[in-house]
Amino acid sequence: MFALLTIPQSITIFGQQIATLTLLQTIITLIVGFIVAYVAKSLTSKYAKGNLPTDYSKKLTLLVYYGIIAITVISALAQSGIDLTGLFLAGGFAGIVIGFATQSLFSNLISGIFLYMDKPLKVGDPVLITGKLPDVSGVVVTIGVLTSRIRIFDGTYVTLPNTDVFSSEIHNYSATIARRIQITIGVGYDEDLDKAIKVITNLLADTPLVLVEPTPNVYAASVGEYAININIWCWVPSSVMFQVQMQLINQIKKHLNDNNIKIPLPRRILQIADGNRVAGT
Amino acid sequence: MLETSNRKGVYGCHSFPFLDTLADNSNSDSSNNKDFTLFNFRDHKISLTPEGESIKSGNHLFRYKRYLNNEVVVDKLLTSSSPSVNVCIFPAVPLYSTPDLSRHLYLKFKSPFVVDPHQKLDFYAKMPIEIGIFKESHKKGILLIDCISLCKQQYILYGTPEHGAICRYKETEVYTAESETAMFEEALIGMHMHNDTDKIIQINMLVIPLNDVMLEHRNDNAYLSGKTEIKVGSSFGKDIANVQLINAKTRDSQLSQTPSKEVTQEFLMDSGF
Repeated sequence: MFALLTIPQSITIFGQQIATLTLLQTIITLIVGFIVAYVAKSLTSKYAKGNLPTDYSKKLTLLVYYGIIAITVISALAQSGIDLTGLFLAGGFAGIVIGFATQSLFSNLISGIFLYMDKPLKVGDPVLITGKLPDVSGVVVTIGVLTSRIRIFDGTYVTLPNTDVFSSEIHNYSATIARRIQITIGVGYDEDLDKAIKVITNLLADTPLVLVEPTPNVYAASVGEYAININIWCWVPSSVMFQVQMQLINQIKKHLNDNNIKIPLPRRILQIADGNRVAGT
Repeated sequence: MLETSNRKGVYGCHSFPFLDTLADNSNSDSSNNKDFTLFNFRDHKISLTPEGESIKSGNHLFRYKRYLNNEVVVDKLLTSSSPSVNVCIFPAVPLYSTPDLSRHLYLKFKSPFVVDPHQKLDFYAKMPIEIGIFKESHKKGILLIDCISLCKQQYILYGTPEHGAICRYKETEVYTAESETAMFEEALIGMHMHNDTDKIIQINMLVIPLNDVMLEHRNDNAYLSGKTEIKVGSSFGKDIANVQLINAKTRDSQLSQTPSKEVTQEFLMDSGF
């Protein structure tokens, strides 16, 4: 009866003789490895939840978990004496093949991480991405692991690889709380320039969303072909910039009209070859 | 009809019985105009109209309207489980008419004041306010349903576009004692300042955080409740003013709402004062 309970000195697995004690050590290594992987996964998940976006948090947790599992399995197999040379050779070759195949994937992944860390854009930001790509302007919807999605202003979605976004010129329209509106308007040479500037300055002072400081600037900027160009620079909160700009253009025209200040039409004077001058349009 | 011109004590909660408003409308000269005007605030007129009674639920319906130069600008339906509706009118911090735009008030002093080293100063200034119109539910709290701004609205950028703050702007005198304020347009704010630096400083303006801050009122005069402390100190060779507002009832007056806890707001003026 006792003979039945005797533990054998060695066991044959996949045609290889493995000492029972070594096998026991291998099993313990695997169990400890799995426990360590589980604890590391929990800790990583806990840390990443508050510090990284959900996408990255899940990926990082899985990477840590499966990384430790892989190391545990390889250590356990090495400990058991199973010859892994063939496996490593095959793994090395497969690694090179997979590496080449997934080069762009990793490039996008790394760019995504840098986009997250550098924060040139955030979800919800209105942006213009230009330079490397054809111009894409819209609102950032997601910054994923491999791609970023932009809802362009006509309502359609554009998905861009993170590498392209990261290496492009990014204009972020909401990175600052205030922006400057620049409007140029021409008034006729016969008009009272000081009066025109005063009318516009008063209008800016009466527009609530035009900021008192930085002080608005209204000045004669250039002498044009048929008008003196007045530049109107004023700062407004970024969130209402487009509304204020539209409102200001309407109001400037209305106030100039109300004060009988003409915005002239383009004018050309034609001179016919025989010397007779004809006033043209 | 209740009008600001002939009635004292506009601020507060007012109960409007369903039947009375109906009766008032039935006696009205123009039967087409069913509006029961509550108050006039310059070009703004607010009115309540009984809309009917739900037989199933027993709720009474009222229509709230605000007119600006006789054009309807706000139109809301109010329900009331009792045969009256409670509408409260309170002074409110000037943040509601343009929500999400600003949380701070920038007071520019017409006469800047100079404070000696390690000296203290108590003073008053005026801040802009809005008129908040709230629907009160019997002992269940109040909800803002409309907001009227009678004073000129202006905004300013404090600091840089990257790290600054958009603030509601007001130019004010500095007063050494409580002063009269423009009714429904201004509130009085009392401040206490310490110059903790070793040099003489000049204060030209202050930025006061106003988020979640309530105002007090007494005889239709409004006050910023609590205390506003300004401590000017030096840090890394730069003079910084720390503005702290502890919002709590301080006067023999009424608060628009009873704060559940004392609200403390702080703003660090590191781009000059």
